[in-house]
Amino acid sequence: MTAERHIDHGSPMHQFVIGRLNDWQLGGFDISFSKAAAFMFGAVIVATLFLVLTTSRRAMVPGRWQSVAELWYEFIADMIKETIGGEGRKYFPFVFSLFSFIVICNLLGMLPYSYTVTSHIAVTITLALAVFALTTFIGITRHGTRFLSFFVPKGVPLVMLFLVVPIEVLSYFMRPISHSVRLFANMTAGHTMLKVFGGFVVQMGVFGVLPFALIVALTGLEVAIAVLQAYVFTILTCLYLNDAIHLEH
Amino acid sequence: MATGTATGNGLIEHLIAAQLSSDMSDPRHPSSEEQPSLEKLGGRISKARRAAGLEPSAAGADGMADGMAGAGLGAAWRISIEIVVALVVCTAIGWALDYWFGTKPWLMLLFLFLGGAAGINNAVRTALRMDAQAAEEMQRKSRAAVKARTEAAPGKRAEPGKGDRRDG
Repeated sequence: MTAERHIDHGSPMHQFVIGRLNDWQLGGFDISFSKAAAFMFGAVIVATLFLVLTTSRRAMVPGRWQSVAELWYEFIADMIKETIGGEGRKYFPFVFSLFSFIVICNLLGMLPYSYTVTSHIAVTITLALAVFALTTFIGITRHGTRFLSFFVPKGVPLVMLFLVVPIEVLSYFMRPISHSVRLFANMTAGHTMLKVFGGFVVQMGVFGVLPFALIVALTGLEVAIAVLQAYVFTILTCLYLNDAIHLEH
Repeated sequence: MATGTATGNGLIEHLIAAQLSSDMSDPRHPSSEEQPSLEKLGGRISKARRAAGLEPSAAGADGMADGMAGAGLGAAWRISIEIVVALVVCTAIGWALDYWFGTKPWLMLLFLFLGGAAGINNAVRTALRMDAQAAEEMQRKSRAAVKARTEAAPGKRAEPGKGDRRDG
């Protein structure tokens, strides 16, 4: 806990320090309300308010704001229809909430002086493990012991199974890790890069215009990546759900 | 029963007729404002979209290429992370097991190879999936483009060079 306070203010990694907003202890555990928790609450509130306010009029012919909400909804609905099919409709609320939370967290992180929650592996791996637990649970409840056939590819000779099954099992357990590292690494790398180039602008004086121009372009790229990574996280969730429902690779 | 359905149908017809007449007589009437038939609305929207060049006609191929260049980075990330994560994590698992059982370095070596295999396994699967998805997308888009073209301009051909690049 104290180690993180030693990160220098000028360091590009300083933006990732989880600041505590107060100091609460409960039975020896640190339960202080942190900046990360505040931004997660903020993301939930922003997403809820946005969707409720934009769809409150329920006009037959949507206005601009309602169109955004409808596009948002249809984007996820189509994604589920294409990757899972009709049976995926049941999981729409989960997938939609997941996408909304991640995309709002990522975009809130793009505001100056804000904080990017998804740049912490603790947050992304929690989300990924929730998806992993859900898909495994669905697979087992829907298929029972037949779920284990997921790890035995068809048409493999018996001798090779001794090698293939452990690889399949390992692949399965690597999923939540790659799922979470992808999002975390993208957000951390992008924000660090912006900070490093920001440092160049200050150091280079007049010639700082060059890195400044680059930052403008990189910021645009980062906004795109913020949305793209939320999309990638969501579509992988859909693919994993599809695997669990239809038991196929 | 038969009379029931007959009166039911009659009622519906009556309602439709009333609706239509109210549409005709008073265009600013709230009910006619609220319930223009969805088909009519859809037709007007698609006409407007076509006029604005938003419908996937000749511009379809260009838009597709743009989308792919943007998604290329995402695809690269998706695949490369799959390999790196499996390799690193499995090697770490092997190292930890070695530490517990005192079998340095054999389990680490075993898990290094298993991790590589698992990583490649996941990467190949992701790539195949993305391939299938892209192919499906392209098929759907080209179908929509052909449909839009035949609907929009039955007489003249819309930019032959671009629209015909269906399999590119």
